[in-house]
Amino acid sequence: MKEFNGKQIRQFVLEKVPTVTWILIVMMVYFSVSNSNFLTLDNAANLCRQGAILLILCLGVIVVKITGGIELSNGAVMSLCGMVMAWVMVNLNLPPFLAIIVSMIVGILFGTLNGVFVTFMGIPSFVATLGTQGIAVGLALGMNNGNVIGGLPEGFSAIGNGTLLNIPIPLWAIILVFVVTSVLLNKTPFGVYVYALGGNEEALKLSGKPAWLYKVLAYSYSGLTAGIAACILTSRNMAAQPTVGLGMEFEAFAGAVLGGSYIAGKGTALGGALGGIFILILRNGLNILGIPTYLQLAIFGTVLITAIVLSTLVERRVQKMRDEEREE
Amino acid sequence: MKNNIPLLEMKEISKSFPGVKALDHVSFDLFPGEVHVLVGENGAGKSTLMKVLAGAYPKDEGEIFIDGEIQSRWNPTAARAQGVAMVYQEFTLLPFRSVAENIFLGREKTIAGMFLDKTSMQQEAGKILKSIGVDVDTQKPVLELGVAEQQMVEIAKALAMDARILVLDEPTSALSLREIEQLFSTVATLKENGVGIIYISHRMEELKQIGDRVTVMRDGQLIGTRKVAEISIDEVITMMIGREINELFPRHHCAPGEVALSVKGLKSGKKVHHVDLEVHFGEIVGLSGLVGSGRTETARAIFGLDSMTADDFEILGKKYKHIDPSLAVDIGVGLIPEDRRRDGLFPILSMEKNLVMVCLRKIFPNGVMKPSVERKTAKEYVKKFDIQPPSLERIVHNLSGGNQQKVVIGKWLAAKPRVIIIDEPTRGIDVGAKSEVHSFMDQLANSGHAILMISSEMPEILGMSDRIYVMHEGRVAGEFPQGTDSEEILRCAMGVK
Repeated sequence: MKEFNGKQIRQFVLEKVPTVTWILIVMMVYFSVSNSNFLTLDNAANLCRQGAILLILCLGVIVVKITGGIELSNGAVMSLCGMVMAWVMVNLNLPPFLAIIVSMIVGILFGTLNGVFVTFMGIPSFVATLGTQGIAVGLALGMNNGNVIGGLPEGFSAIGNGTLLNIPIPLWAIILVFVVTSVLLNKTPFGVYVYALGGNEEALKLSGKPAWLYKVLAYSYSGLTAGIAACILTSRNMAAQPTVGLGMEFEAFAGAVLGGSYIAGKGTALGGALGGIFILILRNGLNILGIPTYLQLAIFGTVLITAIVLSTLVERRVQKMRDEEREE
Repeated sequence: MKNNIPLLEMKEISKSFPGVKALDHVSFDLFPGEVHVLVGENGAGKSTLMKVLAGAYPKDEGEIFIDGEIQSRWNPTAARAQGVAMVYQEFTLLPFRSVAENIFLGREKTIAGMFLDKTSMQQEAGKILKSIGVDVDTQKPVLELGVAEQQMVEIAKALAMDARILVLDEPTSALSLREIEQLFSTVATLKENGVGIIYISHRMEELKQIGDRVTVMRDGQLIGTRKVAEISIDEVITMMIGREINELFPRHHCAPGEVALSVKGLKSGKKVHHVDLEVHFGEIVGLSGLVGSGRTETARAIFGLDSMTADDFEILGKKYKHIDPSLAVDIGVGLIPEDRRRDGLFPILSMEKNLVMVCLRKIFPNGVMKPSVERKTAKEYVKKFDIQPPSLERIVHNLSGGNQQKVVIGKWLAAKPRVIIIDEPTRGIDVGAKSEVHSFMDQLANSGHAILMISSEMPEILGMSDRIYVMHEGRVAGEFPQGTDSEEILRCAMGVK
């Protein structure tokens, strides 16, 4: 009986909860002890506003990652979406809510483009998304000769800076995207197919389903999240800057890998979000400790690799234990 | 079998691949509620026939009837619609997803057309599993199940698709005795429900246990279909082998020399449990056994590709505790792999580059390559093996199977090994190249090399070997001298006493 309990605890610690949770807790304790400014409401609110963009991107990437793909275009696509929505508001006088829809459509288009490259042209997702990244950056720069588009309508600022029921709107956006992603992955046939694409694509084909369609849709979804993130970002800055999202794709992907898994066919929305939070807090904590930027970058890289290695090791260990158990 | 109309009838099916006639006018039928066992040696054409049935391969000739009706268009979708379902040896399950999700993959039950109806899927999955006498938690992820249970989930998946014709390909190969019993009771339940089952197996005792009829195939041809009750296992084995071996093998046996390779108590991975073997210089030793008996894995372990442990491991008179491929090459061991395209060649490089690949360190000890030396070495082996046309620039991908195999052998010989392990030396190459490869092997042995030859082709084993080891389920089950009867070897390979 005691052994059984031990096994349950082990399963909970290693399998049911994403490994990143434990690393996250350790890190938070460390930052809280090191600096009293870390564990404050102000900092938390600050994190929410800053972090919404990254978290939303992470939630899109995790869907692509579960299918076994890599998404490196969403940072640039986000910049482009911002430019397009700013442009339509300034030049066509479109009301903000229509501009938001335009932004999402641009995101979906680019996501779908990724999906089409990967499925029909058979291009590895790494290369395909890197290619669309280039296209998106180019277009974003070309829209206003590389300049920022400013002078957005007053009301638009509410999305990034306003609150609803005392909760910042970016936080609502995170919650919304999180719930939608969770429901999609857990409660719909689409979710099952996403897991099937990563777990055993052949099985999905053998069951007579158009596997390519679901793969394209997974990329489209990631594009959509880039469109949503663009709204928050542009509204917070009250301007669209063509290269604002560069580098974001790597953070988002690292978050998805951290919270999800290296193995295709595995991962959850919660894991993706936790991975994003991990990266946010790491950045924020290093800032609060007052570590110089160049050192921050080096520490950031080191911690990231350590965390990923740890998660991978845990995953392998779990797999091994399972194999041994089965052999008994 | 009260019903006179067969559920499935395949008439005079033929199928050719470049250079091989895989199926030659084979007919096969199946009645509802029947277990029809399909047997034959490796490469007899069983899987090709089943792939035609599943619609995965288009047939060249012949007709397929379902319920007595001719099927004019036959493809995977049509096969599925007619209730043909395969349970492959390699499972098509999603390891991290639940049993219920796997069973209903592609046909999920939904609420309002959008959301998964998990409760009803779980109930339904539970019902299907219960109907075949299995009790597993349908919420568990598949990877937490045992192999037998996974197999049951595969079967349940087929049944959820309303399968009427169920193909089980070597279903018991990975199961324990208790699990086999469980599978057999499932099969019995399926029979009662009128499902027709095609059962592919190498295990003769199973044939008697659950088979109604048995069909024997050999070399792409139908040898015969009999009622299981009216045939003995011996007769089935005789049918599988055929009597005469009409190929000529150029083997000149000579007296074996010293021990070149000696392995005792070799263990590696999940497939090699206990292997003792010895190869002498001047000897070709055959390693026979069924697919999956651990022959290739034994070769990989000896070459150091997979980690292994052994009580005693001696090569060329020296004992080794650990071995890795680079050490193996250095001490004079060569492994000519089974799948030459994947493991033996660099398909997009030229013949010349391929030929010198293994011996680079030997011919260029200081690490700087000289094109002239490279060319000279490659030329030597092209000449030796009479590779036609002898153009060194040809990309290996474009060569015929026989020439590719010559390149693989040549590349290893250029490294001057003393012990050569050769896995399926003549698979997929034409008759002419086959006999050439056989003469090379003969010359090699007679010039003092030690050769361990893995082969699934009985005539090759009998015709080329000086001694024969037979593997069964990860162990060497028997050792036979040259001139042993093929029946005895097959019996040993199948574990029939």
